[in-house]
Amino acid sequence: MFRCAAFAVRAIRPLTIPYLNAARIIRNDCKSFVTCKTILNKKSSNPLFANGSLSKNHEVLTISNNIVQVPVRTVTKFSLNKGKRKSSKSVIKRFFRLHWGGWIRTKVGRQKRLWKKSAANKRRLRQHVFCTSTQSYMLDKMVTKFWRKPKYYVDDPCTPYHTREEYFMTRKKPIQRN
Amino acid sequence: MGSRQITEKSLSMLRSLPRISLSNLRDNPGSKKTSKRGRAQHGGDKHGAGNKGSGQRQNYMRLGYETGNNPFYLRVPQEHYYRGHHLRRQYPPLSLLQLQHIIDKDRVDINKPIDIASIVKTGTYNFYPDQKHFGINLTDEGIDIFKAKINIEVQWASEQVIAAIERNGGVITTAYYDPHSLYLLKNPKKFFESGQAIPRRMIPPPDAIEYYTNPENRGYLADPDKVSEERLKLAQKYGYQLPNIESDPEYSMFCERKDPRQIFFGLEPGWVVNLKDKFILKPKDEELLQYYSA
Repeated sequence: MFRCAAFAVRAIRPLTIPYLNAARIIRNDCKSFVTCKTILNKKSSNPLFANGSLSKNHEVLTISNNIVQVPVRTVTKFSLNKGKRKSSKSVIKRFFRLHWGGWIRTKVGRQKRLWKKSAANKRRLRQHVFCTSTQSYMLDKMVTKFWRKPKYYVDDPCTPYHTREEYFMTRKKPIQRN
Repeated sequence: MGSRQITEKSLSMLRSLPRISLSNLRDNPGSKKTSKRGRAQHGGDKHGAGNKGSGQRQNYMRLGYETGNNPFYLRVPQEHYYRGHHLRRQYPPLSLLQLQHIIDKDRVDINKPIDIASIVKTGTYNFYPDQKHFGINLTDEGIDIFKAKINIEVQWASEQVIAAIERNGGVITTAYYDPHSLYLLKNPKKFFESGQAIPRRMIPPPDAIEYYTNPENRGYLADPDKVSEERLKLAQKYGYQLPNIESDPEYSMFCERKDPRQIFFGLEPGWVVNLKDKFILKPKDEELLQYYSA
């Protein structure tokens, strides 16, 4: 129900209230007297909000009762509070970024039906592998700058993998030729 | 026509032309392209959106979405590589090779004890205390060509690095600084200009105390006798003759260490440094002295 009302307010927004204050008004979080006044004025002048007619509207009620929760599980491009980009939590839980830009992950199905997998297969499943370049590029976009910065932990098991000097695109040091 | 003639001709043209002003400035021809959507026979076809389907509807799907498949970024089992990252301390590395470069280029004075402030001052190393960086991790790159004899204080060092420095007759200490004192060490001038008294250095957090009290790591809270014992042990382990620093002419410099509560060399907690008039104000009140020494 609240979700529905919020959507309605957002839809009306361009006509009634200035864009800059939109997020603040949706949250009804008025910090200055100016915004406070505009909220009160707009509310009283708008017939939709007068004596809560929108919240008692039959059509609105039927739609709001039949809303199916659509899972949103990817990046937020503009947060409600500060308008900032947000990281995808599920990426942070599953992947690890190396300093040279590659990502590592575990193998899919590594806990499933182990009884019928061979020892070699199980050994392969225990390993951590690289993501492809396309996947790494996508994962880079799904997280914020914070996660793309190198993390200098002293007891990091991935220390030898954080540099990739043998490949021309990821090499940092100049080539030593004798 | 030679290039000189062209230049002269264009210069004479320029002389006869009116001066450039806001009233006659305009873009180069063709530099701006108005985005118009054609509506005639062929202009009104697809408008660059392609033929049929998702592309035509300009349906830009969310990142990672695979149109009904189990997406790749959700298919992979959870591993929590980053668990507890907000509590872990980071030590940005400085290699022995870099340190040797700094010394060779005379960007740091090796006749004085080297600490993080003097290394930051060389401009070759940077760190951010607000990003959970807790100082220098001296790494073993260039360990074979390291030849300097120094008294250095870092925040983290491995066993080989300690051996490399001690083999050359140098001294190394690992010391902990809390983020606030790291701010001061990173930019002492900014702090002194603020006119505040130098604070005390905080003691390490519980999980770091073990490292900094261990003589094997040359911790600053370790017993000096045990440290000298460990120096001998390490020399035996790596098979080098430990140089006798007691007979060194600069023995007093190699013995210099900071107090566990001290942040800057030569300055004690509680002092106020006046950069403008070049003097130091020291507290005299008993209560203050007790506070800063505790």
